[in-house]
Amino acid sequence: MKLVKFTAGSLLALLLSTLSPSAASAGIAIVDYVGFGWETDGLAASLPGDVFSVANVVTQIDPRFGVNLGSAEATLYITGLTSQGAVTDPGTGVTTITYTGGTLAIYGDASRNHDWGTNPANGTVPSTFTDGSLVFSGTFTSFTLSLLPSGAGIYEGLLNGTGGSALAYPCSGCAYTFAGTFGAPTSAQIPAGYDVQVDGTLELEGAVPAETMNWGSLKQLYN
Amino acid sequence: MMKKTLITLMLLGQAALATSAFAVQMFDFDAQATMPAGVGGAAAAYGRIVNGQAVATPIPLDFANYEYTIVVTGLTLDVYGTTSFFSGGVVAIYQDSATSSDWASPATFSDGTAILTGTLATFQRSMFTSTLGSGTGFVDWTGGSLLGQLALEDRTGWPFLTSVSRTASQVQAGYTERWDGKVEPQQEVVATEQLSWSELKAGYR
Repeated sequence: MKLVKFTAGSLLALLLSTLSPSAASAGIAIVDYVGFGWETDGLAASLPGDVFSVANVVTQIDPRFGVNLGSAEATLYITGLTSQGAVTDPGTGVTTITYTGGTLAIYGDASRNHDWGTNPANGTVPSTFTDGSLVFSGTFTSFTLSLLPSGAGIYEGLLNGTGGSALAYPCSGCAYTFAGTFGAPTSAQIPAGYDVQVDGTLELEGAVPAETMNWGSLKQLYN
Repeated sequence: MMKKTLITLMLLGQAALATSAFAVQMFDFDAQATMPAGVGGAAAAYGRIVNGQAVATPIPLDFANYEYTIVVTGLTLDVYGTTSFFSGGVVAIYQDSATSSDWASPATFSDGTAILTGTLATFQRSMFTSTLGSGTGFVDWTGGSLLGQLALEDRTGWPFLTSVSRTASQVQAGYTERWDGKVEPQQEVVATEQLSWSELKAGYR
């Protein structure tokens, strides 16, 4: 048997190659969330000036955000998106709503008290989605929602990172969120007063701190 | 007279509670899907149920001791377009404590015990951009070790809803898109509680 002798350089290269994540996670911290959205005066007839908000609970979160879902909940709250009005393409039937403004914030909260209730804003929305410690906050630079008459839709938005314990430094265009949206015609569960159910992700690139590890912990990975 | 009034008030109270309370239940999943090359081919999806303690499941699941996975197979592409139509899918949810699921090995998603199995008879996927879309369909549960926990009237017509992303950062090697979605009852599934007549009557004294 021929033993391979590792030099410091080859060992470093090996470590880097072993630790190097796939494209799906390299440098990108991902948050997976589900929730419900509503627009003042209803989403079906979005008028300029109406405001869209989404209250979400997080089901998966990158460890770099520092929230352990085994002992706490994470909530993600989007609000302040101001409609510029709905435009429907007669050819495709797709209604597109462009929004300006808006913020997104993630909170870690040991109380696990999120409650959508009905007819938001209400006694628990946004309060149970904005309590706890601020993990990430951002401001939208763009946000677009598209809907089909079937009730299926999507939204996507680009953000600047502005604060929160997981953000190493403020950043421009470093965060992106996308979700599928599901209205009443899809038969999705939607509490009274909400317009859509959403299922989406937030991607934060580059502005989260690297996970720190001492040499002992690192060596344990190779024992 | 007073007793009748009291019972009426209790029933009204229960009715009021039933209309104001809303329990969100779903099997929330994170999946990778493969799309067929053309009409007649079949799509498949392999995912993990990721509710954890964040969102209630329609039937109790033990996330502390088991991994739960969802597999969709045989979803035949009938019409391809901006909105594509599929049929004939089979859905199964597995419970497994032995092996962790790994998208590099799809078989790791279908080992363990099939707790719910059913059909995804129709499914349509709409792409709004070249990389982003959403899909909707309905599941009827017909088998599995925990089917008995669903009353007969609760087994059919479960919406299957998913966001679809073909963005490179979202798709694992060997797959064509990520499905981030859920299967959910149209109304809250309530556990059956056995009561004797005397216990039932006692509730109204």
